[in-house]
Amino acid sequence: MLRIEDLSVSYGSVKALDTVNLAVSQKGVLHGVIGPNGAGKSTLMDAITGRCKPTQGRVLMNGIDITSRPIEWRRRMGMSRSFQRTSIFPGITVGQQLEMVATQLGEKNLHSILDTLELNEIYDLMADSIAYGDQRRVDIALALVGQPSLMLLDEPAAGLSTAETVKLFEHLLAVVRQRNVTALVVEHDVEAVFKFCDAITALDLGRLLTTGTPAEVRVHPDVISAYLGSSA
Amino acid sequence: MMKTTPLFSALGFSKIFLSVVILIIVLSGLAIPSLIKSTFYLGLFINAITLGIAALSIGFLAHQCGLIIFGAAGFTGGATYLFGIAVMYFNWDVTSAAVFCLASSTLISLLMGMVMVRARPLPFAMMTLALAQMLHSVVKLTAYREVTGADDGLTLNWSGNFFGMTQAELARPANFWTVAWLALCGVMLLAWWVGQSRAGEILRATKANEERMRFSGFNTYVPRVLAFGLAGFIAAVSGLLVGLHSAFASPELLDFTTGANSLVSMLIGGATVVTGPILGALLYTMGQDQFGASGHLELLTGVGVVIVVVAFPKGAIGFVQSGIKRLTGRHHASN
Repeated sequence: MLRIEDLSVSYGSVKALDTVNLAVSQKGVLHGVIGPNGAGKSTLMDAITGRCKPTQGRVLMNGIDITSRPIEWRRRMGMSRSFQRTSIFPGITVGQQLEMVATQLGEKNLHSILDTLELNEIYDLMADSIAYGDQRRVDIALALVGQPSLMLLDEPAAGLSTAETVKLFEHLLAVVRQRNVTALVVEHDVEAVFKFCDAITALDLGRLLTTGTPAEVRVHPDVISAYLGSSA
Repeated sequence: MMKTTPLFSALGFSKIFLSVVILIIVLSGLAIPSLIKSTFYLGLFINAITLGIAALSIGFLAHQCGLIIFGAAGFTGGATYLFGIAVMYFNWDVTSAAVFCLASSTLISLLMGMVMVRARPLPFAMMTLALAQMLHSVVKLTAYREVTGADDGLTLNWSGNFFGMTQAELARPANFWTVAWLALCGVMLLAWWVGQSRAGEILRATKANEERMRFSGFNTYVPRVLAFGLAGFIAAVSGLLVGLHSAFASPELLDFTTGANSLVSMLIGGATVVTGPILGALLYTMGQDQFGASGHLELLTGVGVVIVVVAFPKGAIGFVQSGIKRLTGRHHASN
């Protein structure tokens, strides 16, 4: 589904990503991306979604090179994303914005997204008047509309409490299974990633350390030294 | 799934009822010359209408796209010149010249929009100002005196009737009122309809969060170009009205201060609803009349604008809206 080949991104003399290779092929899974600040997680997301231009390498989706394709084109290919900062439309209701995007993308099952993410209660409320945790779910709902095959979520649990994070990941797991969509999730909350994700990729200083199941990544020596320390 | 309640239903109005109300307002407005006998005040209200339509074009683009036109004079005055050139240089009849003026102004706006809407708000505003100033300089060039009249401007004479009115009849405020009022109602309804449509929804969502719109599969560029074209059309209506009524196109029409009048009118009235810029233009025109009589026009205008903008950040219409909300809130509470 998604293949990244020798992907590098530089900001001046700083290499934010350094020849990263990654393949995500399984459908209906949560794939976590972990790493400390400056590891290149968000840059990886931006490079995959076309928000920043790679200095080297390719991004392939379903075998097609999409490295230089515009954002709208990637969306039509089935790639969607959410952002580190909640990225909703503040001046209109939750329902209006979801319906607007659903109409644009020909989404027929908006009600199932609303049910799964428990958004019916806030459907008629203005998006900027709802709680932050609800805004994060609206953000994910916007990324889910239009039956994407690959969803990239940049720190969906940022700013949420532990309990809210757990609930959000439960919702995420439910939607990826129900809608058979693969979600690549960048997340700081390492425990949540290990608990809920089917596969994990670990980055450090722009380099890929390892990719594997949570059990494999948890015992990987580089990951232990770089991220988990003695608590692993 | 819960459904969003449409605005009309929320206000307790059906679409038919709303249409009837609009029709009554439009028809009632036509009777104004029979109520206001003073040519001076009727002329003042006509000035407010032309200024209001120009302010509406700025307000429309500001509200829908978050883009401010600093050089509105380029679009209004440019349209007056296009009309003038059509009747004087091409010797076209007035109706053909009016159609040419509106069509070419809209087309030029669309072409410029293709370049300009890519810019961020401040550079966009400055580009519109630069354009107006360039036009201002071009029409004053003696090399083009035959076409533009250079510093002297163009005194317009045309053949044919416009909606059954001769040039002399259009110059009389009591006659011209019908044209100005219907044009005002037309552009207000057009701007309102676009704002209420899916296109308006997409424009405002793009203004709020363009990146999310692009990641939701929307083309965010074309709607903004079209919105700019529509703003150009509305401004051209204002310029055409000036040409039809005054029969004169002068370089002052393209001057920054002319555009600033429209911009200030929009700020005074507010841009969130289509009536805002019109109300702002009415207040501004009346204020200018009163301040001018005192002999301290610029000073009092400056003080007045600062007070209004600080006291009513959402414009006069925002103040009216919040007043109505408070009143209806109290009414509901007492029930």
